[in-house]
Amino acid sequence: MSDNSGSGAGGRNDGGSEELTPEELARQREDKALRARLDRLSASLEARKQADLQRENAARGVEVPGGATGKALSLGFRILSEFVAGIIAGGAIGWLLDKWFSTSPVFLLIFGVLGTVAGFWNVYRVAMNPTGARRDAEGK
Amino acid sequence: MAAEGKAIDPIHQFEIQNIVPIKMFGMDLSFTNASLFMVIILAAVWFLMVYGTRNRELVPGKLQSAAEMSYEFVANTIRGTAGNDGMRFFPFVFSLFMFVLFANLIGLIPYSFTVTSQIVVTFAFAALVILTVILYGIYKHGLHWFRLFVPSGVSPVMLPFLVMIEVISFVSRPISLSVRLFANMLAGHITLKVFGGFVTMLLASGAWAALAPLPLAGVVAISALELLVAVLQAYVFTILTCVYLNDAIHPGH
Repeated sequence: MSDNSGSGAGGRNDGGSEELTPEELARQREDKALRARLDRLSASLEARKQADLQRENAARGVEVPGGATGKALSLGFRILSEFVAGIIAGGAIGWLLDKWFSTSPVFLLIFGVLGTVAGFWNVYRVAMNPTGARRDAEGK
Repeated sequence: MAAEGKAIDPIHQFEIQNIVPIKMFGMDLSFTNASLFMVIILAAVWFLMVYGTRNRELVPGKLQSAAEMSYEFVANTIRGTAGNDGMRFFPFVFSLFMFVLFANLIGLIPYSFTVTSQIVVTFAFAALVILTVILYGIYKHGLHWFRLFVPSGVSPVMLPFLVMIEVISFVSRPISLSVRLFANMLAGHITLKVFGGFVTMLLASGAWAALAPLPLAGVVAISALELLVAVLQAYVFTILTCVYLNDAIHPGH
């Protein structure tokens, strides 16, 4: 036993601290102090992180008066504009094709319907992911 | 406000007026009130960003923290929607955001001109965004980028139909992007003017003047709402720009 006094845990367990040289004792004490300091530091870091997170959440929760109304208004307007833009884009493409091939009103009708479908598709996409947050980032 | 005599013209505020007429190469390149306000907007953004950060203090002052906050805000928006790769577009997105935000906010000042209430301006921005998306997408991914329009896992019968819908949906993006901003600004400013006009009309109509405070309260409320709309629309414009740029960087959904 006396020959393995240098290996920390085993030596300490069976009260063999008398066998440790003074330097090793001092090093052990230093290690312990360092570990305690590290623990304290990481604890305070964690606490600060938590506080930051809380503050951020609180800031997100704080609403300007009428803020909800404004957000709802802007979302509603966004959905409206996405829908109308789909129809306009489809109609414009159809109208142009008709003008080029002088087939009025075949393409206008076809692309008008397709544009309406595209408008619904746009609205569906907005409704599925209104803030445009990345899906893979969310999934992580 | 707009009541000169009895004519209240809520559209008058959007008229383009020549300040310095310039005719060059057969084109009308006059310096108009719109140009003037664009210069004012650029000066305001420049003041905030350059003058605000001139000292680079460790503990930022008011202007410096406003500049830093706008930087952080746009950077977080880009990272959240387009990932870290999106940060190469930061200068572009940041310039767009600051210009639109300042245009909207400066437009709220009475007697000023709202640049973003002109669809030419907003459509130019939207077209710039979409052109960037297309050109960068093709530059980065080559012809593979066009897979964006081909949804995966669809039966071959439905495929041409769905591709067409995707293409129309893509074409509709610059339209919705520009019309949304333009229409919000136009409608808000017209509403403000009309309500302001009600106040002066009521005040000029004898006993009905007792009702004048009602539309005045409306003007105050709508002004607050417009302030919110101005910031929100700048934000919506920015976030959608990022979403579209994301399609150029990562076309595989």
